[in-house]
Amino acid sequence: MIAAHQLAVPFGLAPGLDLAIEAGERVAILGPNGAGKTTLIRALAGLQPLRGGEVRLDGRPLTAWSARERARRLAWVPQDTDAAPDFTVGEVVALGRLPWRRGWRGPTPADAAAIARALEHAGLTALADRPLARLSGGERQRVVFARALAQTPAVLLLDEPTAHLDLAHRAGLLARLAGTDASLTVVAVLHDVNLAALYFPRLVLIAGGRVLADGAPADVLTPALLEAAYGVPVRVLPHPETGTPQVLAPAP
Amino acid sequence: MRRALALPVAIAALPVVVALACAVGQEPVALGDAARALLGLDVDADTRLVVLDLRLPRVALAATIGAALALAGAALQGLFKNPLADPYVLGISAGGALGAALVLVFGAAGVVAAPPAGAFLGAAIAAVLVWRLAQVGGVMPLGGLLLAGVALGLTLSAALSAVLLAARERAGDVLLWLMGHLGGARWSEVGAVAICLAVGAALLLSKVSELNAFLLGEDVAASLGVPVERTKARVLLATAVLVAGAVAFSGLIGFVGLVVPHAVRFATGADHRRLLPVAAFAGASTLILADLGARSVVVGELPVGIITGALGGPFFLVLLRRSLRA
Repeated sequence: MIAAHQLAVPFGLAPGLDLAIEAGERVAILGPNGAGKTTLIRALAGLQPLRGGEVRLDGRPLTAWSARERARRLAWVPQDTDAAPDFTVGEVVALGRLPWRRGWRGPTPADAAAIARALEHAGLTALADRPLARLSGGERQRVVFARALAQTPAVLLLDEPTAHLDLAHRAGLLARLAGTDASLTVVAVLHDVNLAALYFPRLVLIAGGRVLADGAPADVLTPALLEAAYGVPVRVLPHPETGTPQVLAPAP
Repeated sequence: MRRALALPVAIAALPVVVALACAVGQEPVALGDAARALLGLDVDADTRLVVLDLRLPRVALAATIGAALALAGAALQGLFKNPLADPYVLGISAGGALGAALVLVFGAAGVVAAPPAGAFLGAAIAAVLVWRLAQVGGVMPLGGLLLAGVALGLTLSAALSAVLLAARERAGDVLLWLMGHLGGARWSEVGAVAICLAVGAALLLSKVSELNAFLLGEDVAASLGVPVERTKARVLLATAVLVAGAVAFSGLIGFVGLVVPHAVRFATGADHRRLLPVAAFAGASTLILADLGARSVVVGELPVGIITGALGGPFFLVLLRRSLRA
């Protein structure tokens, strides 16, 4: 679906990074600060100038796609959601239809339906007319999520979508993400390894601009790999309900 | 509700303001008679002369220039996501001012059309300069464009000061020209500004959704399929045409391009699909009223730039206080 071949980005990724993601996969990219997670997700989104290698979407190099065609297949949720406080929720989500607009025509029934579904899925239907300035941080992050869903993409890329949220809002957003249509391919950079293990079947651990491990949570979240990535000894315990590995920081 | 009503209200207000401005003056005309003259209905010859030949060209010039400045200001505030951006922030107006001053001081004495031509040429050269200076390898970072514009503006203003100092005996005329003037407007001037307004408005109004996407950040705009560099170049070209036209025929009229878009945003929100058309109509009405003030406050006439500054500044502060409290 989307694949990186021999990527190289100066001061971001070590030369020769490979990563292939199949249609419908749910992948979380983990790693310490400065590991190259954001660079990688931006490269997948086509927003990062490359020194070498290429990203392919549907087997075709990203550079061969027009910006508009690409935006119909691929949506991106940034780390810092630039506040545009005078916009209403509905106006921002409607911008997700921009790549589908043709000429001077107004919104089509398909546009309206996609916007309504995105608002519904993000739990924002009741807030559609509210200005962004009067939303909480958690609600605002859901607006960005809904805007990306309104694009009706095949691939959804998210760069730390839960960075500024509390535990409940983090889990809530990841649950909404998990509840999207099964055909949607999702790649998310996450800081929270424990929530990543609970919500994503495939984890990619990055350190120093290289892929250190790639696989199911049980294969990636091992004490040895985590210490190699983060540089601190950690404990890994099974989640009491699911048995999914959960990581504990070392006791002081 | 308020958002949907803003455009009809702004459109409806303009003819009322035009009629008012055509009625008020040294030879007062009844508002009804002014309206009848404007509509081409039967009125006496004196009224028709005063309204259609003396006042209407000036009112029309004020309207087109006010609309051009408000459009340019609204677009640049959106592009830079900077509430302090105004039509003059890119140094294009400083180029126009310098061009007009050079013509007024050094050449073409008696050629009436010369200062506008000099101003337009100066503004065009400044626009090309700022575009070239801010662009590296086909990419024009917005922060760099803003700084290049400000620096170019300061440089050209210094050159203008040098010109004024070198020709002190003409400095008074030049300053009066620069402070903003709409007196003695002719239909040919209105036509020239109207062409600039039409070109600039067409370039901007066909990119309102792209401007909206820019408000979410340049990267988000790119991820939404907006050709960001082409859009930036287009907004730069549109504002250059609008500002060059306005400066060439009226000097530097301040605050309309800064305050009107902010005031309009209170009614329309940030969506450029509503903001730009409403700002154009509101800018037209605002400058007509400011010019009406300029020619009615005292015997003789104040430069309209003094009125827009004197009223626009405090008005802006009131809006600012309101939004800070909200």
